[in-house]
Order: sequence, then C-alpha cells, then structure tokens
Amino acid sequence: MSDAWVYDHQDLGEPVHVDGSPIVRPVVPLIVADELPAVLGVLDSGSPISVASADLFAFLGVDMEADDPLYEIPLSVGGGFERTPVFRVRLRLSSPGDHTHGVSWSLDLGARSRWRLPFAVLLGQRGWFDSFPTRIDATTSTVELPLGSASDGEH
Amino acid sequence: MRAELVELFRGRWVALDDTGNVVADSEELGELLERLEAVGLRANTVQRVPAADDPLFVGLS
Repeated sequence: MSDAWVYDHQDLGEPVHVDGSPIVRPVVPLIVADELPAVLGVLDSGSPISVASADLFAFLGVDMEADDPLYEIPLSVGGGFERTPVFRVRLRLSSPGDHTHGVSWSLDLGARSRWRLPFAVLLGQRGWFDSFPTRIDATTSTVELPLGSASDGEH
Repeated sequence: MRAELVELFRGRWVALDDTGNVVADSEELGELLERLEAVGLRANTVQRVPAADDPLFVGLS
C-alpha cells in the first residue's frame, strides 16, 4: 500500500483554456486555524518564494501593523511595485480528504495585498519545495507527497 | 467547483461544505473568515471564484 498522500488537481472555476479544456491547478488544503475551513495552496515550483493573501495573516497570529517582518521583497501589484513583507508563520497541511489530520510546518510567507487569485496561498521553492519532496504529475493531474507516516506530526 | 455555482459567485470568496455547496460568501477573504469564525459555521474549504475577466495566473511577477 502506498505511503503517499495524493491530492487531485482542482478546477477552481477559471475560464477554460482556448482549446476548451479546463484549467486545473495542483492544490493542497491548508489549515490556518483549527476553527476555520481549509484554504487552498497552489504549488508553483517556478516561484522562488511563497506568498499569500494579506487577509490570512491575522489568523496566523501576525499583526500586520505592529509586527516587524523578517524582510521585505518587491513584487509587482497592479502594474506597479510594492514591497511585500515576509513573516515566519506556521501552517498545517491537511491530509487528503480529512482536515482533522495533518502535518504542521514553519515557513517564511509573504503577505500580498489586493490578492485576487482563486487560491489563498502560493507555495514556492522557499516554504514548500524546500520542506516537502513533491511529485506533480500532469498526466494524472495529481500531487503526490511521501508523507503517509507523518500524519498528525511536525515537519 | 460546480459550473452553476461559478456563474452565481464570480468575483466572490466562497466557503464550500463537504458536498460542494456554498454556505457563505463575501467580497474579501478576511471578512469571510471572520464571519465563519464568529458564527461557528462549518465549511470544508474556502476559495475565490474568478471573475470572468480575471487574467490567467501563470506565476508571480
């Protein structure tokens, strides 16, 4: 029996591709607080960093007004550049189909304002791929993580 | 997400239950999460339904 966690890619309601095929994203469910539903994290191995909607950070225990970020990074927003603060936070990756089990880990996460993407978190090289060996298979539209034995653990 | 719900909630953040139905929606993610927390409403996942004219995301710039 496979010891991997496998997540199906998801159609987030984006307009179909010009050839009529649906756009599906490699998505994992993330818990930011026990009493809240999962938010969606899209895996992007081409992104050097991980960023999220600034709206999430209060629920992650970050006071955006009072807490000093680890550092800032310039990202383009609405045609201009904006310095994006990066904070150390903890997220929990939910196991497939069961948000009551998961693996928690710490990552540096940028807080981007005016977020209009269909998912709340973009998981890149720093913050995701440097923590989780990940296989993204576009032939089967799945994400596979060798994490089965790590349920309810720390990472 | 089901096509009929996509058309109903374009441009909105939505909370979906285990069956894929929308149980709450809001203009902003923070507002939606605050409301869910305040009323103790159970949902499975939260996402934003893309607006019809949203550009296709292909990476950070």
